[in-house]
Amino acid sequence: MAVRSPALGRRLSPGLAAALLACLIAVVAIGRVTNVSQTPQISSFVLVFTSIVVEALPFVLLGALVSALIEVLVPDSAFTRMGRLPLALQLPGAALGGLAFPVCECGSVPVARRLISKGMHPAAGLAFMLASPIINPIVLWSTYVAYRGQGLGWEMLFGRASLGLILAIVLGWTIGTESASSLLRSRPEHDHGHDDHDHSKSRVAAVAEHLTLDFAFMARFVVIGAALAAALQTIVPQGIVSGVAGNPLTASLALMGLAFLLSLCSEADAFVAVSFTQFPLSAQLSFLVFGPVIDAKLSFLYGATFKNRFVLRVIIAAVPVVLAGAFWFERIVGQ
Amino acid sequence: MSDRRRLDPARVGRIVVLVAWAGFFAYLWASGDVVRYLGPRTYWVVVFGTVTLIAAAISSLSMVRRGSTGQLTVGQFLGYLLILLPIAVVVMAPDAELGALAVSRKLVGDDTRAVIIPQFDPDRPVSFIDLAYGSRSPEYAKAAGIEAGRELELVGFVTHEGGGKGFRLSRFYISCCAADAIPYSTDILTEDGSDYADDTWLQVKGTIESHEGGFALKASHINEVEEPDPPYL
Repeated sequence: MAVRSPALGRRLSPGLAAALLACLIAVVAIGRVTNVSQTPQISSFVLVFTSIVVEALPFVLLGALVSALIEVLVPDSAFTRMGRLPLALQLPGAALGGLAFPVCECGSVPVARRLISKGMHPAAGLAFMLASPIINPIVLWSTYVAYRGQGLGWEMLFGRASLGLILAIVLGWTIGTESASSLLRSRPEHDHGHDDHDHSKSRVAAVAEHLTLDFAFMARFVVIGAALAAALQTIVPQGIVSGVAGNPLTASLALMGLAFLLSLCSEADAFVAVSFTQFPLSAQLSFLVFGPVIDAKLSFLYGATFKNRFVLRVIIAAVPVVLAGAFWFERIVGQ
Repeated sequence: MSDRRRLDPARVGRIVVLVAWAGFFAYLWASGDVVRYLGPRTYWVVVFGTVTLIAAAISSLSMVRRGSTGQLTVGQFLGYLLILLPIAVVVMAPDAELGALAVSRKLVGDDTRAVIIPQFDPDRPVSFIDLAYGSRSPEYAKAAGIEAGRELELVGFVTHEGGGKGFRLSRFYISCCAADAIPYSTDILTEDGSDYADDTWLQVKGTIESHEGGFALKASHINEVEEPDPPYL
């Protein structure tokens, strides 16, 4: 991801383009003729892979659209002023901003990147990015609906929102200490786009330019992440975690691992979490808070957006916070 | 001036990607194939995707001749191919489905999967979800009239995972997309011990039986049928 091979930076020759296209077409044709979809593993992989991408890409698009609108319509001075506010005010403010941004985790990444590059404190930008997939109204509503059958709708809603908010603020505060240039990866394509800006062009064209650049950049990492998540779903039986359900610590760690592996959309994960009936509530809450912050699909998106082992730092910082919060929640709510 | 009027291959590539995905979303929308990939809560994303991608592609058309570099790198081209890969995969395997293998992968410990509380409607036939929730909630079973001896018809695919002797009939419930699919299964009891291959779609008529703390279907008639559209509950 971070390594740029000189071969990839070379100018594409028409012959190489034709050869690559021909390879893709040949693989598709052979697969079609040999009926690969009759193989259960391939059939399951294709459906899960395509489903994740079909569902995620419009959210990436929405995030890219919001990001482009911020770039074109909101003056830099607004973010400069915001950046001068005390961090203690910016962090919870940005995290709570997630309430007004009802998209899954894929959509919040391009927006956070834009906010940070425009002058918002990196800690606040990260807090917004990590909070919005957990505390947005659609996610909280689906959490309530999933758990109301057990009489725990409100408890899980408030538990998820509170722990999600705390986690976002803590991660923003611990990881977002660097400057924007130290945190964000540069994008050659995007930088090229900026150089090419014709300031006489309409705002619509400018929004379209930023939207297409962000979309084309983010979408490839969503595709790679979706392929990994689909492969893991196809290969790894979820039953492997059932043996550790009795111990609260291992149960929580196992469901956090499963959340990473499954890469579910945060608007649907509560329906899966509630089905882990043999796991304690603390483990189910860990699944619901950890998954939207980091999973297999997101790790590629984060890796392409942020520097300095961002994914590893998120995991290291998130696990103890989620465990502590989930155990505290279990102690209060208990069953 | 003439240089600025050259086609920018990178921008052309991005527009091709946008148009291809807009076309794919439009196909899913128009053909009804969206039900294979998404749940009812997220159908709207294909409409949003179609409209926004077309609008973005049209708005970008005015700039395809503004490029100053006039070159497309190998990395950019591979990136565009990668984004188009899911469409190619669907062309390669258009009838991909979740079946018995996916059920076996999604079971965690026991097979209690009645996580969706069904809204009972006396005009709606009893389904897999009613049976599963009725097994957990005697009050619901009583209100829905789920009891031994009641006649029932189910359509699903054959699985053998998690069941005892014989086979089970399964269907998936999806909330947002196939990645979050949850399997619902019912044991099928047959007098002659007949069995079927995994993933065979069956219509089973019979009567409800109390079975291993839940409900099963004692079959009187079994017919092989085509996969229903949509295949999910």
